[in-house]
Amino acid sequence: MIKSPLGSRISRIDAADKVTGKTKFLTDMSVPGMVYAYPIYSSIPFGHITDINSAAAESLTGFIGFYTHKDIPGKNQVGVILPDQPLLVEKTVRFMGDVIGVVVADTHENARKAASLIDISYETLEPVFTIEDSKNSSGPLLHETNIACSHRVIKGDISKGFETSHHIIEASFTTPVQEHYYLEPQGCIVIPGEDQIYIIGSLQCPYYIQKAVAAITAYAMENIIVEQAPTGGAFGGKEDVPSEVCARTALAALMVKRPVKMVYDRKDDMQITSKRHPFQMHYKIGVSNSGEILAAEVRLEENAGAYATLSSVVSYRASIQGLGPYRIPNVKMESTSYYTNLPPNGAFRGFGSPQAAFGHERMMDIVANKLGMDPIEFRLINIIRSGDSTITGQELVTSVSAEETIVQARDAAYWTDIRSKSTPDSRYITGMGIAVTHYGNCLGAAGWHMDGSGASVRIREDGQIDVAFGLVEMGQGALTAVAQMTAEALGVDISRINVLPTRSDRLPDSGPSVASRNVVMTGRAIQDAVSKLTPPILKAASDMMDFPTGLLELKNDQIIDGQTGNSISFDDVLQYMFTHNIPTQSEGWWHVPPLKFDPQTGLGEAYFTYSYATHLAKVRVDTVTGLVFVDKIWAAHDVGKAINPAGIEGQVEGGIAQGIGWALTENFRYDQGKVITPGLTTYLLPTAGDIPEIKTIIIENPAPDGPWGAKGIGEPSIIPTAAAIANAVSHALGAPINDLPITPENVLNLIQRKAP
Amino acid sequence: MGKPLPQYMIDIKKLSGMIGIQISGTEVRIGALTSVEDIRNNQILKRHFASLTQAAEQFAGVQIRHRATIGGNICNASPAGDLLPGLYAADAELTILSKGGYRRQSIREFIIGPGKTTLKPGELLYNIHLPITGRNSKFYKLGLRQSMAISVVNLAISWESSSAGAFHFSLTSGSVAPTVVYLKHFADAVNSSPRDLDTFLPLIDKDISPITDIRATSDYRRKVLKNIVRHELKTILEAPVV
Repeated sequence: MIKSPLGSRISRIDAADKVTGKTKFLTDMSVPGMVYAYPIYSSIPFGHITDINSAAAESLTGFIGFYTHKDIPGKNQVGVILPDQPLLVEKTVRFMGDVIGVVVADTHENARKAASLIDISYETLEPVFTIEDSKNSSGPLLHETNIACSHRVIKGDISKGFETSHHIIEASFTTPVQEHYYLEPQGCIVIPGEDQIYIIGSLQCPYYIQKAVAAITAYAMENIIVEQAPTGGAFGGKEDVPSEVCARTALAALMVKRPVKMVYDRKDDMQITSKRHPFQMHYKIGVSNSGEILAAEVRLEENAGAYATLSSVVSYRASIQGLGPYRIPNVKMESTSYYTNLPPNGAFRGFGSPQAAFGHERMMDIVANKLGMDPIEFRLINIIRSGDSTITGQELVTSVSAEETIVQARDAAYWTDIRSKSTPDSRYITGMGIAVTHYGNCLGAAGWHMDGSGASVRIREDGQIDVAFGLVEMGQGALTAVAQMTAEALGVDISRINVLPTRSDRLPDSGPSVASRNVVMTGRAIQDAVSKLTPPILKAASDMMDFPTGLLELKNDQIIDGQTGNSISFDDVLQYMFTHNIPTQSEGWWHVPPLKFDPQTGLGEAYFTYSYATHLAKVRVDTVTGLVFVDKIWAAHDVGKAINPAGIEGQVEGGIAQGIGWALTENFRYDQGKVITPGLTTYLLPTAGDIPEIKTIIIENPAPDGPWGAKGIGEPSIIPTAAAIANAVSHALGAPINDLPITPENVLNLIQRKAP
Repeated sequence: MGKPLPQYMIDIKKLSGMIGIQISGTEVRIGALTSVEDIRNNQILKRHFASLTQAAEQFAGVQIRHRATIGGNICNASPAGDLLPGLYAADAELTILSKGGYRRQSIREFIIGPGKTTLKPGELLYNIHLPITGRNSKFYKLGLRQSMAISVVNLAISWESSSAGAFHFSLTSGSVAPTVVYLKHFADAVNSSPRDLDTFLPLIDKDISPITDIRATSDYRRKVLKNIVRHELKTILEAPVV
């Protein structure tokens, strides 16, 4: 008897090839006749182009061509939500990194060199870099307005709520930029054909690229074929950005009529592409003496950078989740994104959730502290439970596990014992902090129109099963989960399953691999596909065994008659099907159920289900240097159903590592719009030595709409981490940490300010 | 981008005569091509020059420690070079080889500025001499992450074990001036009256001239170096006499 692949800890099916170097990433690929492109981008943060001189570049050996917006056959526009972003600048450059043209040469090095020789003259404009500057600018606006988008949630009567409160507490918070630092930079190869364009790239959404390239080249969408190359990390950084990369490369390929490859160097990737939005937040919370939250007024402000890209997704999600998984009757939440002359900020693991979590979870600790309550006790008074409503008035009934994540993390960590231990005389002060978060799965009400995904299943004559899905593997373990879910749905061994590379012509537009939606969407689509395939298989078995189909089931590579226990092998039934002309393939689709939501008030069903998480962090603060060491993290996650517990642990550990980096070491910085942390010696990703022991606690409270009850885990894993660390450091110091990153300098200042 | 490549490059990595650590009379001799990893694991150095092995322990990451050499760390002359404070503290002397023969120079004269040494075209750093003195030493590194970090501040301390309370501290610090510096004003004062070290800490400002860079502000470097010096000296002063 074989073990059910679903729910068991299995190694990733792509692991062996990746660790042995057999997997070919984009930089390993080449095609005959291929030449290389490189972008030319603005060297100033804001201004008008007055002249472009390419003479020096053109005289370089190996130079093939230089192309600008004038060469675009279609529409010069790549804005994914708002049409505010040209593919190639026509007149106004809005950030250092705004791409003006593309150069093509015989080698990558020559293309890069030629790009550096293009001489561009500008008339400079006064740039704005901060949210405050953007709001108050008296100079030229970036677009028609400096506001990229805004969202709000208005519930109950906020003034009455504050009137009845015994305490009103206010605080402000800020969070920094974060760079994705996917190991593999942006890149693609474009092969122009007679009437088709074939693209292979490192990406999260082939369909976005299909649309973008079609618009730029004036080709029909179905004539743009986009395949995903094995992708070395993405984290949201390859959601919309590859549309630009591929469209610029496609333009170059059409111009030179040859295959063209473009791969960004790291320094340029960091200067050109999107990052995590810095937030500034103001919270005002009203509570009763007994610790009930009665009113909350919140202002979230996001630095969008030069173009809107995915700001509205970030701003929307932050407004929905900005008060955490708590019951609050009276709410005024406003979330606004402002344009500045920085590289555009966009999608990054969590879409604004880690920032909002930093705000609401620091605030919960500040309020608890004011009331003299334990932070967990205070949270448990207000935590959302089954039957309660969110701040948007959405009643949650099933799979509501916020409380369980708190309780399980608390008990695993011996919270009360450890938190009360003080170490006054030693060099190190320990602290213990908590953060509790929820995450709306998939695209939510704002993205509902595109929240559908497909999968297809084809059983081959040799008994192997090909599965195609519309979403992608980008390092998160999707291939393995897809294989497990297909094997489970069909009742066959996982060794039969081959998951095909994602390609735009295999399935209808399935949207992007974002918002922790992969397992949910693809799992349901696989179930749908298999539900169409099972009846003919059972019918064939029934014909062969002469038994009613109603009593047959597919299990353990067999079709079993539930009454007698008689069985027939899956392979024998397949042979029968192939010799009797019975089709063995099907396509499945799933769309998120309808959501009733009013964007004017922000009230209604914001997301169809939520994942819940609690992180507890134990830290040590060095009073000599101000350095913070994370000693351990307990991470309790409700995932509905763990398809692969080892994969969940991988996601949780990876998310926490990225959260630790954002909280402590990464510290991304600009000087007048120029990235001054352009590599790993200055942009300090945490190393293995900086990652503590992580205790992952998996809670399975099935979501009725998820496949086998599963919910998303990719983003929930990073959301609470920084807030939990900041709460732990605040606890250790007895002084509030309200700004990220937590630098040793700030910590030392806080320690010395407190010293008698 | 970067410096233009010279017409020819010679790989000296495998010159076995320039690799290794040995005691020769009253000194320890380290070949310039000895890897940082070998320094980290060497028992002779561990016994006589603990600050050097401790610095090697905290140097970059494991892959780099196997490739990087002590000669490279010296000739790179970074103000933040982690092996340098220990070498200064040990009064290291260098043998420099050229077609014309050898010359010998102390490390503090060899390094003349950030990235600058007295090495002339046609010269090669050959080996490093460390006089065995019986002094104790230790190293402290402040980096912003656990490995692969360029020091914000580093510090080597050497001292004599003495039951009479005369420690004769020597302190050398990196990343707080254009080159590694001796904290001479402070050391002189503290050596005359070790128990009053707190009052002498401001003297450290006289010996250093830190800059604000991507890793830290000048203000933080001044503050944190004093904290580290205070903590490390107290630990030594309060240790039970053996």
